[in-house]
Amino acid sequence: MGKRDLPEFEQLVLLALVRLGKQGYGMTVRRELESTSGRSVTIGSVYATLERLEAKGYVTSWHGDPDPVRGGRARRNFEPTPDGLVALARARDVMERMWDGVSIDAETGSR
Amino acid sequence: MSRSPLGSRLAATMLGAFLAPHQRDYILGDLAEEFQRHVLPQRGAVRAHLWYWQQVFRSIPSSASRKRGRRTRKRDPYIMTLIQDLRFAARSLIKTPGFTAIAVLTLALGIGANTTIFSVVQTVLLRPLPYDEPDRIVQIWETHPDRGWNSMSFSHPNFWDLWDQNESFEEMAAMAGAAVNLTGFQYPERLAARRVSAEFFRVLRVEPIIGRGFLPGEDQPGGDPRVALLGNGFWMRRYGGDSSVVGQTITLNDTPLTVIGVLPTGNPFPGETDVYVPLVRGSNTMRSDHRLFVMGRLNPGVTVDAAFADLSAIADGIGLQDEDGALGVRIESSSEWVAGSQLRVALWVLMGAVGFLLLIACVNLTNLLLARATGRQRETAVCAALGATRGRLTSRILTESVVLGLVGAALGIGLSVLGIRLVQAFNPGGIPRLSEVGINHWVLGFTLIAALATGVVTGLVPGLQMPYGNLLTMLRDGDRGVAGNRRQHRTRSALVAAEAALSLMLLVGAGLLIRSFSELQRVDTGFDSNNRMSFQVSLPGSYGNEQRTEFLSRFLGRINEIPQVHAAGAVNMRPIVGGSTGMGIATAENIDDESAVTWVDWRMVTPDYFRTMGLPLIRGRNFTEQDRIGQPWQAVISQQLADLLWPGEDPLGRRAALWADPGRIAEIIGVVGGMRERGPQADPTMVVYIPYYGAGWTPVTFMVHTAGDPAVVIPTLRTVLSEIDANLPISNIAQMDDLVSNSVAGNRFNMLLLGIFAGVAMLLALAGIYGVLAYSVTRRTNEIGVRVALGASHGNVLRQIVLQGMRPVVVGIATGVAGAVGLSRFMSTLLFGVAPTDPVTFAGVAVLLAMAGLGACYLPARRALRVDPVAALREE
Repeated sequence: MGKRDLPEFEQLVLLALVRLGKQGYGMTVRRELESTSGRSVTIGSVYATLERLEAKGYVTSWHGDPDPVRGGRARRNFEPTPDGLVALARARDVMERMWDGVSIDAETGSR
Repeated sequence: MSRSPLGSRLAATMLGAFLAPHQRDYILGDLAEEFQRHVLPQRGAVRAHLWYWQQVFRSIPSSASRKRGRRTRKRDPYIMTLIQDLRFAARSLIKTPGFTAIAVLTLALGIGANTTIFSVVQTVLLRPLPYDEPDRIVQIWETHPDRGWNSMSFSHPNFWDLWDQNESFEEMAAMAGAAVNLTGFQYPERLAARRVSAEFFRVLRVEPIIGRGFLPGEDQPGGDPRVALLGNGFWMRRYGGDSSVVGQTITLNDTPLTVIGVLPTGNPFPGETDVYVPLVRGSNTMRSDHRLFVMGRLNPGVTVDAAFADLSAIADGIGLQDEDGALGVRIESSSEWVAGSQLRVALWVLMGAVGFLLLIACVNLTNLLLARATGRQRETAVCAALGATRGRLTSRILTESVVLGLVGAALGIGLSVLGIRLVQAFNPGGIPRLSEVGINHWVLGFTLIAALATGVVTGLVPGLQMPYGNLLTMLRDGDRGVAGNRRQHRTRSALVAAEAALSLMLLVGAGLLIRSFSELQRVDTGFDSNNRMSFQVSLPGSYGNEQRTEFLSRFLGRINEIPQVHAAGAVNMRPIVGGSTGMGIATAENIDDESAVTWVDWRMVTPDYFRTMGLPLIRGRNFTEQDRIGQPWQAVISQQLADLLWPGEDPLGRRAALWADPGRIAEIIGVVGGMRERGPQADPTMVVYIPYYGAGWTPVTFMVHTAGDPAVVIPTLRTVLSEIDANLPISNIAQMDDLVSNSVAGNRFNMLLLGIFAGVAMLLALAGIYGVLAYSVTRRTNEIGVRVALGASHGNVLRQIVLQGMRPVVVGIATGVAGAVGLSRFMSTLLFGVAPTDPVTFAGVAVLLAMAGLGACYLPARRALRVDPVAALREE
């Protein structure tokens, strides 16, 4: 799988980060995904994806201050990089080009 | 609160183990934050915890592969195999819920019992004392080898001499128990006090939480001893934790003392104590009056042997002035404070018992897994034919059994939480730190190891015995053959024998304790405890000797006027729990002969004491109201003592030297029956009774015999006492029945626990015997059908099957008897009136197990008889 590939779950995570702005970290991403996609997502899989995205250079991360409600543990915040935004936009373009001229009803599956 | 959610710390630890160190912080932090801020408020505690565990379990696979992936950059085959095996195990266990439930329950019982007992053992025996460098703290006893005394409390002068002269101890301190009356509050209260020398808390390195400790001069003549340190519990109870108490005045025994500090929570020293006051040097100059508990903190690097040599040299010098003759010392490790040898033995016996129980549970599970593996022969054969290696197949079985072990352990921990509560509720007394027992990381570690070991042990035999070699036969026969092959059959029989042997040993242990307890119940204590009550009154120093005697006579007179009271008397030491006062006694003729001195107990009593206790006056007369101690010396003695001093002669009118003192020659005026002053387990004591009147001994123990329940008269007693002196509290109220019963509570506790474990063990073993035979009968249905068709009688079939089932049971019983003979001597200190190899117990238990085994074999055999030969043949 090349660097430029962006599988669906990575796209969703990246999009969630864009929507969350400065509030992006593991748990908010997880909640965002659950509420919009309606599927149950674990914190482990979110971080696995975030770290993959970071390895590809699509997101950056930094540590916040320790917080008592977190058991004195620090938070790791994430933000998309310009590369990440470009990759996301490209993925959308590819999808849109592919969808061009195709119409399927989400309820019935009829064309 | 900022901790991980309660009950989910285990989950967090589990997940943490799969995460790389740098990931732990933010992933666990995210979970904690989400839990506290969102999930808990929205879903409630139970569902929130479920959510937490779900997140953890579902996150483990991605985290695990990521953790290893970081290092290898590709999916690790071991982890993938493990995950595959785990999935397989989970699937196949869920597919057979009956098997899984039985296996998990069996293991949960075994592991739960182990966790419960281990948590007690860990807290009571293994956890070090809560002191700084406890191995440097030792207790010191006086010894008088000439008299055969090897553990005496210290006398004041002997202690201070050692304190002055020793060079081995950083600090040395003494303590004497005391009880004081607290006045100045609305009600007078009796407090547990301790007199301690100034260095006492420095030996233990316990610092007051507010105020200061005792200063070096406060226990010396000329210093000011009117100071008190409060125990934390008393401070909270009486002062509500008010820190301004330091500097206030507290009135104990009519003496105002200044509160100088408050001790930290918990008891700095075993035993409940409300208040500490200085033990003043020179307040008691008798070298023969032994009442001090002495301990010390060794200098760094000084060994116990070196300290012993140092103290012994000093003791040699002191011994010359000591009326008890040559003086020696004995040094004992402070770990002895935690648990006496009897308790140690009891706990280790129980630990061994639950170990056996877990072994039986393992054997049962092994049998189940073996049967399961045989049933899966065709599946195994297919896997092998497709290229699965033997190791791979074995590891799959092992994974399954380890998963069972872990699930069983999780349930077992739940059971042990209940078990620990039960043990604490049963509290037989005398188990130190019992209230601190709980599930801590040591206990969890133990349980985890037990679970893993259980999983490996149970999975190993079926794993190794898996038929692998002959693929063709296996594919052809599938799971239809006879009852497994010969080797498997032998293995199963051996396992059944092992179960029978293990449970027999447990049953023998339980049987011996039950027999001991029934012997204890039958012991004649010599006195009557029914409807008897005792309580104490402590007379303050402001009461002179005459006043005390007058008080005693007046109070007893008033008690006797209460309608429900049959009799009332006073004694200086309460039977069973009151401690003891001892003296050397010799007949007047033998007074110069050292070897003729006998060590006996002495008690001061009022005339009605014997009647109150139901002690029969065998010869002579009782004391009268007019008899006073030492005016002249007169004594009533117990029958045993009379027999010892004047065997075969009439003791009345004979003369004996009390305290082996020529100045205290007493005339024997009466003989009473013997009584077991120290409880049913001790021999009847030899006692010299002397008049209470004139002695002024305090605290006074009153004994009251009433028509019905003695508790009814307590309010009247209080009223009567307050009419005589409103400042005197009544304390230590106890029914004699309870005291007698409590004195065997430890035995009852051991008996109950071991009985429960043995009972469960036997049930498990029977289930095993039944299961194996039933399985074999099921698999031999065809064979049995053919036999019946060929004319075998029902009796024949029945006999054959029962014999087959009983053979390993009989072997097990024989092995178990041999094992029990070897092991039971370790519990001989727990037995009473029964030999460790008591033939009645052994025979009874063997017969019981054999009968139960027969029953367990009979059921599957009967089922075999119901086999319809036609149906069986058709299948063939």
